[in-house]
Amino acid sequence: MAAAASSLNSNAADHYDYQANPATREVLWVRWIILTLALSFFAIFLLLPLVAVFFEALRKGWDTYITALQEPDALSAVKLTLIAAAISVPLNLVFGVSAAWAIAKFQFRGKQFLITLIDLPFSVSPVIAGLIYVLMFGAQGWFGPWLQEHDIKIIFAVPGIVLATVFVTFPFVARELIPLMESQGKEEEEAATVLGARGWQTFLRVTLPNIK
Amino acid sequence: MSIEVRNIHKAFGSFVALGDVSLEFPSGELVALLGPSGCGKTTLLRVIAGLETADSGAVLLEGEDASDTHVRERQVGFVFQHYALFRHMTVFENVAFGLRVKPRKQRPTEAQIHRKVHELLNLVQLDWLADRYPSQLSGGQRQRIALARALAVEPRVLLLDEPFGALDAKVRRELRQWLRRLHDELHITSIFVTHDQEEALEVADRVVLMNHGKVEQIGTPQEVLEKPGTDFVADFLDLADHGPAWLIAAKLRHRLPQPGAGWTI
Repeated sequence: MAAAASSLNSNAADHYDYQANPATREVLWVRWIILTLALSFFAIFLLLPLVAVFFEALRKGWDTYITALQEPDALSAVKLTLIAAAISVPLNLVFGVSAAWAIAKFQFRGKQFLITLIDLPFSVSPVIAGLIYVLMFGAQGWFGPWLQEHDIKIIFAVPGIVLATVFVTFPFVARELIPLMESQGKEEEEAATVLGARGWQTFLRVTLPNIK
Repeated sequence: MSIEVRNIHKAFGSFVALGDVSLEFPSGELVALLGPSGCGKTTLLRVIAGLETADSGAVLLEGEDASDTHVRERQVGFVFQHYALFRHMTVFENVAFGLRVKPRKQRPTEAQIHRKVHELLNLVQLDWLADRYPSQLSGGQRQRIALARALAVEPRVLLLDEPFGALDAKVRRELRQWLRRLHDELHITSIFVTHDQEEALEVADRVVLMNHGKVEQIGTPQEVLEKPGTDFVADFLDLADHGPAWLIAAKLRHRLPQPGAGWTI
């Protein structure tokens, strides 16, 4: 009786622990199966590779590890990663924020199409993405001859890596922001406009600080 | 400043929000747009502000067609039902916003902004909250800050969309009396939207009753109570049932200068 009463009361509570209440608790073996499944997947696909990387890297001791880091190949790999990140993060921020802004705060034709387009990189395999860029910028690609004439290298060079990174990571920013911006509504922007703010003032002073 | 709307028509898809509405709001009055939800009153207010464009018709501010004037150049103050305060700014910065975004040539100095904001915060009696954030305020306090923010740019008109709609009954009553006193001090042409007949009749100089995108009746609270123009007005003001109307009349009596001999409800 006491348990029933407490379960009634706590229905309203936000932090309700179903496991603490005998009336809502799952059977032991069900809990075990769910936990084992989730944890073993996590261990095999995420934790194990991570451990393996560190184990292999440090197998011959710290000294070898440090020397290996100083090899030109390793250094250039690190540099390349940093360059790709340094370019793709700001690019994605700008594109992601503007796409999310357009989608969340304005009504226009083709909005649904734009939303689908943003999700495209999620559904396309990275290998296909690479192929697309080869078809566009490769030697036999659309822009290939023009690029060769002007001695610009994209595929198998830094710009290609940056392009691929941007493509794969593009949806993250927009996807994070759209629900947040939609839930915040348009009222604050309207208030800013009525108070005399121009479009960019509204964006910089109201929209942007709200999504930080 | 006087406001006039001429033959405003506005439809959302097949739903007609405003069907050929023409109204005049004389200078310095406090007018209530009263009607059930979905009657077009908020849409009309947003059309006047410029936040919504009418399909046809004109909005005249001080006799000039403002239909093509951008919202930010109309010099209107707008108070939103849910306050729409900038959540990441302090109360002070909220009120200062309108002054800070002015073009550089018209922008007041920091000292002037400081003085003006505190002046306004004193006017709404909330100077002691200057450093708080909107989330730390009560509903009534937020609404007063929203009003101070709207007044900061010295608007020619004040438009209030269900200003007390989200507040509890006691705060509502206090705030609407306060708004009335404030209006008596400032005498700025004001329109407020409400679905609460008691609120409209108690506060406004004049009431515009709306239903299904049409104006049903315009008049002083006394006029619409004494001579409801249509069945809808009589029904909406609850005049069929003498109890509430009588109560309203009693409340009005202390505010209206001369109830007159014909005051028989």
